[in-house]
Amino acid sequence: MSFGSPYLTLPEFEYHRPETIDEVIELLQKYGGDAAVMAGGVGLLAFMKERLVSPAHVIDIKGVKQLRQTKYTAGESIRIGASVTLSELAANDVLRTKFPALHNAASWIADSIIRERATLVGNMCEAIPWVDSPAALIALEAKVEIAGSQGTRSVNMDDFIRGPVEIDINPGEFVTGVMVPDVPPRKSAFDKFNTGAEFSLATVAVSVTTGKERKARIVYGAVSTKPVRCAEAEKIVVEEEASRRTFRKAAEAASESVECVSDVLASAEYRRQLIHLITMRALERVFEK
Amino acid sequence: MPPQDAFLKVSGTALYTFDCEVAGTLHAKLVTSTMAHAKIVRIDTKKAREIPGLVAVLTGRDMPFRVGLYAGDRDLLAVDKVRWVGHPVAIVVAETLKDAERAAELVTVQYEALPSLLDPVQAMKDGAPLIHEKMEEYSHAPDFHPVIGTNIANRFTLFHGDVQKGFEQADTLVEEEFRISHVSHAYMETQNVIAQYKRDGSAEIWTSCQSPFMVRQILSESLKIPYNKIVVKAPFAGGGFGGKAGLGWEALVLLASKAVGGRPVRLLLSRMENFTSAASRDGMVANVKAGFKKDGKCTAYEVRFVVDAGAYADYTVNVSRTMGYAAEGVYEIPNVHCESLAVYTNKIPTTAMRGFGYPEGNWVLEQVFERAAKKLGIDPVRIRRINLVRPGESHTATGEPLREDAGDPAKVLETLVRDIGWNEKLSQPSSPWRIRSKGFALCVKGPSQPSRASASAIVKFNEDATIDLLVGTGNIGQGTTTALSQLVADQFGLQIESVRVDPVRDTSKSAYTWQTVGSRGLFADGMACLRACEDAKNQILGLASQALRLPRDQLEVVKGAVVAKGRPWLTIPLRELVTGYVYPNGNTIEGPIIGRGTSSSSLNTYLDPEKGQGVPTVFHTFGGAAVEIELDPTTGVIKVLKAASVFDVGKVINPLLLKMQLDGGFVMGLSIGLYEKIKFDEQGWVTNPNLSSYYVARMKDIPREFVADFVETPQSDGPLGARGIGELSMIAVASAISNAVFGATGVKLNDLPMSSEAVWKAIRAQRPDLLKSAMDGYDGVEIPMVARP
Repeated sequence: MSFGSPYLTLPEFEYHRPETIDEVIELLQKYGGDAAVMAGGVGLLAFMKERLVSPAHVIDIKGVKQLRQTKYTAGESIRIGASVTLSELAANDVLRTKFPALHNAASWIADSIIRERATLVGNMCEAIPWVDSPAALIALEAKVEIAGSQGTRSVNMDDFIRGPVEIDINPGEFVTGVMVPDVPPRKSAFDKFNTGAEFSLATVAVSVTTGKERKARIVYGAVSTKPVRCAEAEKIVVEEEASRRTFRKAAEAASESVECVSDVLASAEYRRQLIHLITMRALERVFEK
Repeated sequence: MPPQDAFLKVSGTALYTFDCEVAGTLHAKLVTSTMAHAKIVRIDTKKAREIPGLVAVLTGRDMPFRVGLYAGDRDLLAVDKVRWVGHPVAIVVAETLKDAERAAELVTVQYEALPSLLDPVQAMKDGAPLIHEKMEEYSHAPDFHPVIGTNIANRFTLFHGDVQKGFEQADTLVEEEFRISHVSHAYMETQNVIAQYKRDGSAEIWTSCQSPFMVRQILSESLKIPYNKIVVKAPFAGGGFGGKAGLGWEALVLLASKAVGGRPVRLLLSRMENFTSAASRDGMVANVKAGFKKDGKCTAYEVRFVVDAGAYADYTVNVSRTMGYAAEGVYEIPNVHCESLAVYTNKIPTTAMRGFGYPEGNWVLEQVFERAAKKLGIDPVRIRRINLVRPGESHTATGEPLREDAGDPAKVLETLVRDIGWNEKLSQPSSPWRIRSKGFALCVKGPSQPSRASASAIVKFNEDATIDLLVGTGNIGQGTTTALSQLVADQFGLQIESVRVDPVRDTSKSAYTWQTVGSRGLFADGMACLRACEDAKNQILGLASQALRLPRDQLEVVKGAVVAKGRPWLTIPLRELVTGYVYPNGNTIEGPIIGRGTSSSSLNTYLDPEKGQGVPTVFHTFGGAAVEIELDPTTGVIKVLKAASVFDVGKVINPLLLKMQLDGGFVMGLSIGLYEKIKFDEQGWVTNPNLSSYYVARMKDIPREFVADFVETPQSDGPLGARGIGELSMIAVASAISNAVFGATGVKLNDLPMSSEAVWKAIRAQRPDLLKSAMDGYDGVEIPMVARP
């Protein structure tokens, strides 16, 4: 969310458009903390306009072909490159059928014009509390793939966002993509409430693995400073038979236990009400026959 | 007939001030206050002056001018103290925008905090610190009454009859408090100006404004420059909605240009600056008491409006006055007492906005009637019918005898109720726990203008009998000039393409009009146009009478030619007349045809300072809005499914533009009703100063079905009988929505906006049973039987 800016111009910066991951790393090494990586630019340029950041070098990764790809390996994973746009994901059938929570989150962000430019990884890395994608990625046990001069590493999405606008990334590193494991039989759903607001007041992502051992992840976004899982609700969903009564119990548990904040969009108590409602809806969709 | 400028706009070639480039232009940037109320101890510009591209830094002491239209309270830059967060303290001028932004960052201001007042009710109390210490020195226009020694910028009172007696006669009373939040005009083009103070002492201004002649007036009167040495040019404005009608930045930027040796200077506000440093619509708190007889007759109405005018109230003094004299709405109430106070606070300044005090009064009155109807068990339609004014018999709140041809409010009500299907069954809600309901509200409005608000028009024939029509009314997207062109083309039997209105208003070339406000354009400028046509026609017929050797009363203008009545073979095309008629031998008589016409509001008077009696307006357009809504108690979300708008416009000039005005105004009313609110923190900072956190209705929020309907009761002194409509379409929308919620649930929504959270909280507080059953419905769980002991 933008808090407004008296500025009409961007701070001065040098623009780079590398074509390989190695070139990106080289530039990052060269300019260190003075550089920022840009994919769609939807977040970065707005932050720059507000002077929240003023990098002297902007490294546009849209020229790196490898980062523009989405690759699905059945039974293994889907990997989404850092410059894949939200509208590309919205049109992705595999994502829609196998990873509905992520598909919903990606295709409901902002509006269709912005989705032409905004990327999933960009949305996730913004890490402001109101963005939609992190909850879905956490629910699906995604891993963030990071490259740097020391090589590559992978971080659980659970730990990637540390707080508002704070992510697990070191100087000289950048996110090359996300990997979401394909672990059937798993069902998932995402829901959000954003009536009368440009950003979500509350989001939820649910994934339930329905194999021998039932596992559940229920993650809330936009209600607090960073996405949070709700162990109480997860326990109810794992242990009790899927029914509306169970859903209600889980929704009530989440509504009571998830810590919510009051901000310019909504009060904490309203967010708790919304948590109840979107939890019911998401659970219903997950367990839909 | 689509608007004439539609092609320019959709092709991206319409010129806005934003697009204008004047060679050699310097760029200005504001340095604004970070305190709500504070003394300025020191302004340090030393570091800023080190920026290479910097040309000048000016502060309030460099501009000892006070400007304004009604209250004359405004400084150009803060002098000695700041009155709100966002108050411009200094202006820097530099070669490039970037230089200006950098220099502005480096200006440091040291403040000494003063107690700040953010609540108008607190601010009007005795002994409250004064925001304007020298109010008595301000130049108040006649009709405005500041209370010296307080923060009350204007006090308006109106009464007739005896409210105490009225309350005694009443069988039931309704007493409530209503509140309205500050809202932004949210026009697309932020405020921007290019001004040049030329070496010969003349001034040229390009500005995104509604009323170029008012800009000129304010500049001339406050800076003491003769009117004819100021040229104000107004191209298309990217929206105005009242926010670009009064004071703008022109005087400040012009003086900045003077300070830099006469180079042109541009100031363009960012959206945030537009939220925090420009003026918005006032907030309001109203306390009301109304008495009703068992049959629904309203016996007494007592209301006090406290208007949160912000740090400067130049235009809002008139908004609050209008709120006061319009308090009675479309009803005739025998005993009325009304007080309306515009109170200074340490918040953003406020100004005119579409509706101009009428929406605020409507929010109170139309809900009071709904509540009374429920209390008395009367149908909401009936209670209105009983109390409705009757043109030709009734008097308005200000004691003005309502003219017989003022409109037909009863027919408006009847049409509105029919269009929304008031007596038809409600359709099934989209989910069982949701609630469908219908609601409506009536409204009325006229332009709140001084009596000397006049208009003029010039019909200038070209050689080929096409016309350049000169008018003064601005292009803010309302389409008036298309309607004016139609009126003029019609008078000569020409196609509309034959009439051109230049898109740029220029005070040195356009015909004068007071302002582009108050839905007055078609009425005032339209009359001037018709009279200019009459004048041109007289000249043409005189000339044709000589040419055809026939008396002029036997001639008429038909389809671009003068024709002898009943003898169509005796005819001369206009093109052979408009630059003079040439006889076969070459003798030529008369010259180019130029018609002139004027209109003025000769019936208007000042209002009696105590009782508020007089004639404040030239017409009253009656109308109303009705909605069908679906309320979700679980979220508090109100979805408007169907909208109906009905107005007595006197005469429809352009049906398509009228429908667009009604639909567009409805959406604006819906947006302000459900979503819009400028939020302030405890220090007076705006916490949502941009369009991502200040939400304005989107396509997904608007109803699927719009019915735009009209009644035609021609008004004899309107152009072809027409009255104004521009603002009307948004006035009653919020009240209609709230009435729909109240009708179905009894839940009172007294505060705007009716955000989903506010509605949910209201339901939880007033109808916990309703919320509980909706939650049970939502969750789909059978409600367990409670065992009786």
